[in-house]
Amino acid sequence: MAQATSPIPETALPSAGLTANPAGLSRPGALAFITPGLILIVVFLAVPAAWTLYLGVTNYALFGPQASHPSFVGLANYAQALHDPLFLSAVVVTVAYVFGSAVVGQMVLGFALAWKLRQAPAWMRQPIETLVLFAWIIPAAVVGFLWATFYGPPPQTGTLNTVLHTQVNWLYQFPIPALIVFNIWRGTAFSMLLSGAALNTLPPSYLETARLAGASGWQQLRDVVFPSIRGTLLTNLLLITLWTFNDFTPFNLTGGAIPGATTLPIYIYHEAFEFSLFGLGSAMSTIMLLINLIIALGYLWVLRRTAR
Amino acid sequence: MIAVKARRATGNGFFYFAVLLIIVFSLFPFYWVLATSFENNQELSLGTRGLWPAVWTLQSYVTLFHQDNFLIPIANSALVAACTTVISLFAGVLTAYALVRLVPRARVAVLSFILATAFFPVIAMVGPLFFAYKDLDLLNNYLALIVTYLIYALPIGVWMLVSIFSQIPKDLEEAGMVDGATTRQILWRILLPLAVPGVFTAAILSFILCWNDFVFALSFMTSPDRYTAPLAIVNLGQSQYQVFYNIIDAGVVVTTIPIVVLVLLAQRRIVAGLSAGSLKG
Repeated sequence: MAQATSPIPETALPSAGLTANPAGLSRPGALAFITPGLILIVVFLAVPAAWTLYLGVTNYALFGPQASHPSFVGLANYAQALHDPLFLSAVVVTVAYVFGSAVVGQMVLGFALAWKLRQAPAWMRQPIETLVLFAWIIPAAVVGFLWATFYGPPPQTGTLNTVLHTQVNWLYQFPIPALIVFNIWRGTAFSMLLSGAALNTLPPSYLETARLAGASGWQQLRDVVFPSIRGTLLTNLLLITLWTFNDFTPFNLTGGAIPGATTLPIYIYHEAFEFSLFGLGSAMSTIMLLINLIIALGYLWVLRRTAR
Repeated sequence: MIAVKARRATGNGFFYFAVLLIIVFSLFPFYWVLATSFENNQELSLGTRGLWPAVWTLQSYVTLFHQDNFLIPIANSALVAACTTVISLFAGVLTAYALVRLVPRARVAVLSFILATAFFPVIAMVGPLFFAYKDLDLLNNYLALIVTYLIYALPIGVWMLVSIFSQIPKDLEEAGMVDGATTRQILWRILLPLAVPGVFTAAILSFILCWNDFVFALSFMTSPDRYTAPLAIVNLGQSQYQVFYNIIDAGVVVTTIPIVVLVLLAQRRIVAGLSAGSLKG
């Protein structure tokens, strides 16, 4: 791909510095451009990442004797994490949260909105785009309070209870559905915008032909639309899955204090910062990292299989 | 024919209804917070209220800025976000330019690495960075946040700038080269002015990313005079007997306004930038 930009092989014109290097710059010179950015990322990302792996096999803690003299404990932290029912329940909550809000909610609703709004007049499409974009882009702490107020429990009755004339503590009694509805509200914008952009790349003649051939709306989607924009949809799915998996925002709704709504990042935060068990927290982070990796690899596998 | 039309009409009616529902669903939390922020303490203490507050006052905003000094966290947030944005744009422009024009062969490798970093779980970064900043004596220091946000802002910036630079035709740069311009002059005088709209988008996204962060600020900033706005909100309105939601919500409104303004100013560009980055990938 890179070669395609210069049709003349570099060796063919050894004397002309201009074509030998498209910008007339030596390789060390080019490196000088890239280095500042890369060094920053490597030093402050790769080093902490390696550190996480290391901390995971120690009993490092913020206070007490383990703070100054952490010792090597092997895989004990991993064993402890995998035998901890609260950790396992956090995994289950997280998976339900990701599946319900990202995969089903944001992806399906986002695509459906984009598909439906595709032909809508601009006066209708633009306000909706602006609104959903707001929900996606405002600060997590702000969103947290918006929704904490919305689900507000009695006696300080929240919006939902006021509207429905009920006295329900939504976040305690229905933690997972409450979080899912919240995250659909927050994140649908991204899937909608991305699907919309992908749909715009479809040549109108494709759908025209399908319509003339008598294809129903669903048939058009299945046979024309999905195969054409599969790559974008899968990328979108990967992005929102990983984002939701690593999302810390539920903390802003629950203060991290509702067991049924404790996702993996919140649980890890508790273990590491509140109980000061950094070794254990790091081991859990590593497990989380592995799950992320598996999701990403699974996505690549599907993408490659369907590309054929 | 008539049947088809009728069916289409009911279909459209249903569609408009759904659209209306979505608009209400999206707007309602905003409305509720705005309405609450204009309530006074007495009204709030009464508890239940209808959809429309009985009294509209600015009392909670006065309390917010006078008693709670909310200007300080707003200034902290603005400072950190501005510094991060400037640095990430500078480094990002250099990196993206090099990847597009100077060493295109490294492009795929570097971009994949950069993309991978963007998905590294935030929670796994907090611990190690906390210790690093503790040893470097950077806790409670703006630098801790600026450096941390750069880790996340820079990859997004590079990713977007690469897609913007590669859309710009090479002709002008080649003309500049023939006239004897150096690489640096080509970048700053020729390419960058052409890329201004895209750079602007990258800047807005970087600013929003910093402005919105909660978990890093929560972990690294320990004294209230260094809190950023999202962190300060969480500590607003707490008293022994009651949570003053009107004051919290006033803080929420003030923190949201800059973001709302940015989105309204640049919605089109933000959308274009977001989808450009992802469609290319």
